[in-house]
This record gives sequence, C-alpha cells and structure tokens, in this order.
Amino acid sequence: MVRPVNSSPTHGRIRQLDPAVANQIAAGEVVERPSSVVKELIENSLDAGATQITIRLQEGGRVGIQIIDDGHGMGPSDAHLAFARHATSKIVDADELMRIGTYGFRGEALASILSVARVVLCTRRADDELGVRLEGAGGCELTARAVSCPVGTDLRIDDLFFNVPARQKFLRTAATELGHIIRLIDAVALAHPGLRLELTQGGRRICLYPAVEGLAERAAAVFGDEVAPHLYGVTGAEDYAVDGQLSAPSTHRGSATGLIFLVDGRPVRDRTLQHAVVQAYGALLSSRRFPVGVLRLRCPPGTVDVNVHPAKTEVRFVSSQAVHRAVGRAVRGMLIDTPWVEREVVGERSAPYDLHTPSPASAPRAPRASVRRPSGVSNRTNSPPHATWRGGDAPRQPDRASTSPAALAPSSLGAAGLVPTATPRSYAPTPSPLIDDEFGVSAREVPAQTGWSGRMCDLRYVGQVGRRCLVFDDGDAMVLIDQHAAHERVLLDRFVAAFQTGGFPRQRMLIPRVVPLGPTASAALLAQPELTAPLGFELAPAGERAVMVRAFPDVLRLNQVDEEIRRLASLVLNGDKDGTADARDAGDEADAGDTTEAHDKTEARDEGETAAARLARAAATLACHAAVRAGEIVTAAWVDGLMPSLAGVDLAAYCPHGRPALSRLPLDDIGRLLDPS
Amino acid sequence: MLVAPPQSVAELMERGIQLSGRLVSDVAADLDWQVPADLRRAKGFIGRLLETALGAPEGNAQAPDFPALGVELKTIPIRADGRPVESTWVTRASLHDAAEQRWESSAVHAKLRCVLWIPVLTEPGVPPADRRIGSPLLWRPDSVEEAMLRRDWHDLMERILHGELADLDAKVGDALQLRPKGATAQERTHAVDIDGRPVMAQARGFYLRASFTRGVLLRGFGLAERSTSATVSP
Repeated sequence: MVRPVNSSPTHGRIRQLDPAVANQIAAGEVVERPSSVVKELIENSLDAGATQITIRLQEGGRVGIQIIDDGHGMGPSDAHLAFARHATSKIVDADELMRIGTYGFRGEALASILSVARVVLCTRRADDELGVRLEGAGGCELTARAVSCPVGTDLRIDDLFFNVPARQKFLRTAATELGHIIRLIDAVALAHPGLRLELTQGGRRICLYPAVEGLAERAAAVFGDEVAPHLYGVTGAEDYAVDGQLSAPSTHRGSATGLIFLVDGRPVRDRTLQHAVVQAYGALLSSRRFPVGVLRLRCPPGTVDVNVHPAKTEVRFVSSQAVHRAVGRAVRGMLIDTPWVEREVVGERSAPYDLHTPSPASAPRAPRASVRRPSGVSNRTNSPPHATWRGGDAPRQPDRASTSPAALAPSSLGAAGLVPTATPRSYAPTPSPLIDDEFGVSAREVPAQTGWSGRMCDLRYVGQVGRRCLVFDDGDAMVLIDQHAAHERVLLDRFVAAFQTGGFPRQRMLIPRVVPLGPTASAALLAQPELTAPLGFELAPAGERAVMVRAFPDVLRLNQVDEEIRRLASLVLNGDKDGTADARDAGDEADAGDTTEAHDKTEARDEGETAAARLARAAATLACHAAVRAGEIVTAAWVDGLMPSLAGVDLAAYCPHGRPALSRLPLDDIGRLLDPS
Repeated sequence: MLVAPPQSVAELMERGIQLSGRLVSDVAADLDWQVPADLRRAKGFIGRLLETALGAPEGNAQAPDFPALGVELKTIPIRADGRPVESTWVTRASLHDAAEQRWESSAVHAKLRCVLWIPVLTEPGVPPADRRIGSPLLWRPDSVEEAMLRRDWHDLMERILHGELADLDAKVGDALQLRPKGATAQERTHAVDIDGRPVMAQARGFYLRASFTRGVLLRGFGLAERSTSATVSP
C-alpha cells in the first residue's frame, strides 16, 4: 500500500467540509452568473403568484441585482427558512418531482445565493401589518427586523461572488452579463404573457413588457418590428400540446439563439425540440440557419423530468420521439397552412409612389401589439380574413391528366410583355402524393389544412409581368407568383414523389455525352448511383477523367447537363452546399494532391450527411436550375399546366430555399395606392 | 469473338445501352476487328460490327436481323443535332412479281415491324473509328407511321407493277422511297416494262427517308415536344 508522502500518521486526509464551504461549492451549480440569480429569483416570484416583476441591475448584475414582485410574500419564519438549504414549500416527497407544478422545488436557490453574495430581503404578506427585513452575507447568520414594506417580496443581491474571487474572475463584462439576463427576461416574458416585466440597469429602462393577453402579442413585442410581421402561429394537440409563434422561412438567423423553447412554462435548452423544429423547416432553410420564435410545449403529467440539472434549464422526456413527432407536425402544419405572404404595400413604397402614399395618420397600420394574428388570418382589420375567401374550403379535385410532364415544359417563347388570358380559368389542384417527405413527416399524417388549395382554385390568371411574375386575380386581391419559385417548388415536389416510385422521369440521350471531370470526381460520382439514379441520371465510365451521361432528368435542358454533372460531382466530392465549385478543378486538385486524403474527406462527409439528406439537397438544386427562370416568357398554356400542380403541393408559397414565392395584395391596399384620399 | 444471341428484347436493349456512348474503335477492339479508315470502301461496316456485338445470328436478307425476337437492327448515322445524315436502307425490292406481293407479308413490313435503331454520331472529318455510338431506340411504327409506310409501299409497288420504273425516282414516297442501292448500282435484275414484258433493269431497294427517320428519333427520344419549346436541342 502506498502511503501519501505528507500524511499524518494520526489524522486521515479526508475531512468533513465546513458547511459554508460546502454551500459555496453547491452554489456553483445553481449560481453560475448573474442571469442564473435572476432566473432563480424570478421563478420564486412566479411561484409566489406575482403579476408584476421588476428587475433592477447594476453593471449587468455583477454589482447589484434587485427583484421586486407583488406576490403573496412571506411571514418572518418562512422568510428565515427560505435561506436554509433544501427548505422549500413546493414539494414534500420525491413522487412529486415528476408532476412539479412550480418553477422551483429544490430549496437551494436562496441558500446558494446567500453563500456567495450580500443579501437583503424585504417581504410582507397581505394580512401582515409589518413585513420582515432579513440581511446577511456569505452564508452567515441572517439578521432580521420588522419593517414597513409593500405586499410582496423585494430581494436585493449585492457583490455577487464577493467571497469567491476565483468565481468572480469568470464573470464577463457587464454588457455580456446583461445580454444573458435580457435573453432570460425575453424567455420569461414569452412564457407568461400576462406578467408585467420590467428590466432596468443603472436607473435606465432596458425593456418593459406590459401584461398582454396572448402569446402572439407578447412574441411581437419580444422579437420586435423586424421579425414580428413574419411570425405565424403554431398549434398542435397530440399527447403533447404545442403552440407558439415561429418565423416564416424567409426570416432566419445564423444561430439558434432566436429560438426559444418553453416546456411547461420553463425556458429550456433541448436538442430534441430544436432538432424537430429545424427538421420540420427542412429544405426551406439553408443549412446552419435557424428560424426565430417561441415554441411552448405542455406535457402530460409524468412525461417530463425537470430535475435533470440544478439550473433546471434542461429536461428529460420520457419519450423524446413522441415530443419530436408532436413538434414536427405542429411546425410543419404551420408552414403548410400559412402560404400567403401578404405584403404591406401601403407605407412601404419607395420614391415613385411616395406622393400617393397615405400618411401614417391617414392610413394607420395596426399597432404592434395587434400585428400578430392567428395563423392564416390577416393582420389588417380592413382586409377580409381568409375564412371569407370564395372557395376557401373547396375540396381538392384531383386532375392528374392536367399535370403531365409535358404540361410543365417551359414556355413557347416568342410572345412579349404581358401575356393575357382570354378567359378566366381556375385551377383544380393535383394532390401532392401521399408520401413520407424528406422531413420525415408523412403528408397523410398532417392534419387537414384550411383552404390553400381552394384559394388557388379561385385564381384567375391575368398575365405575366416583367418576364418574371405571374399575376392573378382572386376577387379580393391581386396575387403575384414568382414564376421561377413556383415552378421550382413543383419540380421539387415531383422529384420527391419520384423518389418513392423508383426515380425521376429521365430523358435518354440520343448520343450519350461525355463530361470531362477529374479522375477522383469521376470515380466518386460513378460510385454514387444511389444519388444520381433517382435524380434521373444514368452514368457510365468514360475513361479515367470523364463520365458518360446516357440519360438525364427530363426537366433539364441538354445544355444544362454538363454543368449539373459537375455540380453533382462537387456535391459528392466536397459536400459543396450549392455545388458551385467546379468539380473538374476540385477533382484535379484532389488528384494532384493526396488522393487518399480526398477519399477520406468524402467518407467523412458521407458519415456527416445522410444519403437521403444529400439526395434531397441535390434535388432542390436541380429543381432550381431546371425551373423556368426570370426573363423567360411563359404562355397561358404553360401557366395552366403549372397551377394545378402548384395547388397540389405543400408549402407552395415558398420556393425550396425558403424564399416567398407569392404575395397577395388586397384590393383595399391597391385602392389606397391609386387614390390616397 | 462470337456473341451469343440475346434471349429477349430486354436483353437486346440492355446490350444496346451498354454499347451506347462507346466509340466504334472500342467496340471493334472488343471483337478484334480492324476499323477501316474509309467507309466508302466498306459500306455497312458499322452495321455489321454492331450486329455482331449485339449477337445477331447470320441471317437472310429478307428476315429481321434478330429473327427469334422479330427485331431488325438499323444503325443510323446522325449529326450532333440529331439529323440523320442519309436515308436508311430497308431491303431489296422485287421488281418482277409485284402482283404477288402483299404489304403484310412483304419484306419491308417484316423488316420495319420492330426496329432497334442505333444512332451513330457521324460528323464530317471524324474518322470511323472515332464515331460515337448512340442510345438504342426500340421502335414499332405507330398507326400513323404504319399507314404512311403502307401507303408509300402500295404506291411504289403499283408503279413497279405497271412497269413505270423509268419514271420512278427517289422523289416518290413520303416515308419510303425506291432507288438504286449505292453499293450495287450497276447490278441488273428481272423486272417488267410498261407493256408487261420481262426486262432486265437496274436493281433497286427500299429506303426510309431521312425526314421520316428524324421524326422517329425525335418522337422516340421524346424530343419532339421539347424541341418546340426552343429550350432543348438534341
């Protein structure tokens, strides 16, 4: 046995820690930084039934934090006991942990805070004439005296970590700590729309959230004017009730910080939830982009464990799969059900129209609090809600005959300018195939949506404008559809459908084409028939530095084939997002360098991205390139071929990259443009 | 090297697909054949090469190249834009017994009932060895094409029957034409003159017009509607 060098023969090395030290250590788990103090105290206030909470900071909470609430307060004995470790009013036994109805329950927060800061607590119950003032620091005994104070609790924390210098060193700048607290306040505000929240620093108000009735209003306030118009309601009621406000695919950020999750009213970070949301958006979002918004999940009792970490920002679900499914369907439903992207024409016109633009006074816009509305309902009070649209609930009328690939061939070219239609036409939708889509959500499982296809059926084609935009009349508004985006969406839908039935319709080459590539690129591409064949390509070897194309997807033009082959090779070789790199160069570089390394990179990418995801990405790119482009004239006959297909696809309002494909300009807005008076 | 005959049309098509995109020299090398530098002295070389590569048995001139499958093989030289370079040989015309022949039992009908077209890219200045073999197209005349062929055949056979060979030139017929076969232009055969007397006349054969085969290729490869969109050129 090895004896420690400096061990005393009479005393062991292991000894019981002083309670104050133990508390400081324990505090490290609960009190990490000022925002964790604020979080714990706000939770206490919420558990005390507060309807108003004011948070005052000094230097981002590093110097001082004060939380004032109008909750039910505490009596002197409770106030004393509140600072004892593992003293709580919220649970009695372990069985209650799986059905916690309060935000706090561990009985650690105040004890932890007291052990690392100076604390002054003033609290009074409504029935008490006088309140109690407790004061202490660094885990020492509290001094108490009776004071006159309002009902509720006023807790001041000064000099956080004054007695733990090592911890103090890890605090960031005041601005950084303030940023953490603001994010926390935003999350709390979203969790409790009926709560009045105010945050100040150094006497300056940072934010004020008045009590509002619904999540939509609160989300508009939290996310601001830039995001608010692009938020749409999410609802889902399965085992897990889901609601929220999430941004249209066109509004996104480079990180997930704008995505707030609330589980049973508790702000949490959870990979399952984030994954479900991002997967539901799927190809509508570029990689590494995230939507903005808030999602609330209400769990049945006993299905979630919030006691995973002392900070309670993590949860564990009994069935992550069920949660993922519920969230995915709800979000997907929102994306499908809110296709109309209405543009605020009035007030947003630039120079040429300014003379006719009504002043804000003459054309008041909806106040911000009322900007948000239930999914699919106009935010403008003078605009008819979708529910009143003609044919809004018209059943889908399958019309497969009108959706032959030939019907979707690009236009007969030659006409110019506006191409009018002689007679009004409506478009019966072609149902989207009932398939498991690339997002893993089966279309047949998505709840029936409101009359998107019905609205499409009522459109009357007016003509093409600027060789880019298709103009329709729906009776109440002018509907503008981006010809490229709409065609791209339809083509992608056909691709996805074709994957389920053995591959995309292909065009055999009269004379197979030899496309030069680097040897590595050629080998890599030929080794991926599971990627190229479903897209409609039939490839064969053609020497070491080329591939032979025997067939290609029938939506492509012949002069696009070489470029698409190079993009595919680039995708296979480099995982190139848009396939923009020249595979010939890429292949040559790889070959000139270390071929083995190139293969390793390919394998590594293969592991990182599933084949299905890569196929979906390749299909999206192909659909984009094959679609009719801005600048091309399309005929009414071509539009007639497009629209039934467009009416039958989900997410028709967005191109596969998430950009809006259509806009609806209500006649009222157009009228105001033409006649401001 | 001998290639076994294909057992089914699907197998024949698959063999054709495997040949597509390859150079004539590659296929010839597989068979240990030498590609002549000038096909004017070796007419039909590419046709025979592909027949062998596909496993066509030795046959008679009046039957399809793959008699068991009822499939005739036709190589067709085309330009890069898909235009056939020349008319396509079908079969020799019998000039002395026109009254006995019927369309349904004619060699033309037998040869054209089911054709495996194999285009070969033929550009000026490109030596035969470097010509690229195209995708196979299995073609059966549709009702319109069938009617057109039948009408032309009847028209031509009627003129042969009446001994109007002197006035019968390549301009007659929309799909099918009758003209001397290039390689045997001097060959004489039995015929009937305008008075019904037997004579010896220049041998002739049936050819498909290039305009007709172009239509077959366009339709067969689905290029007809695409070409009208001005967005696709074969």
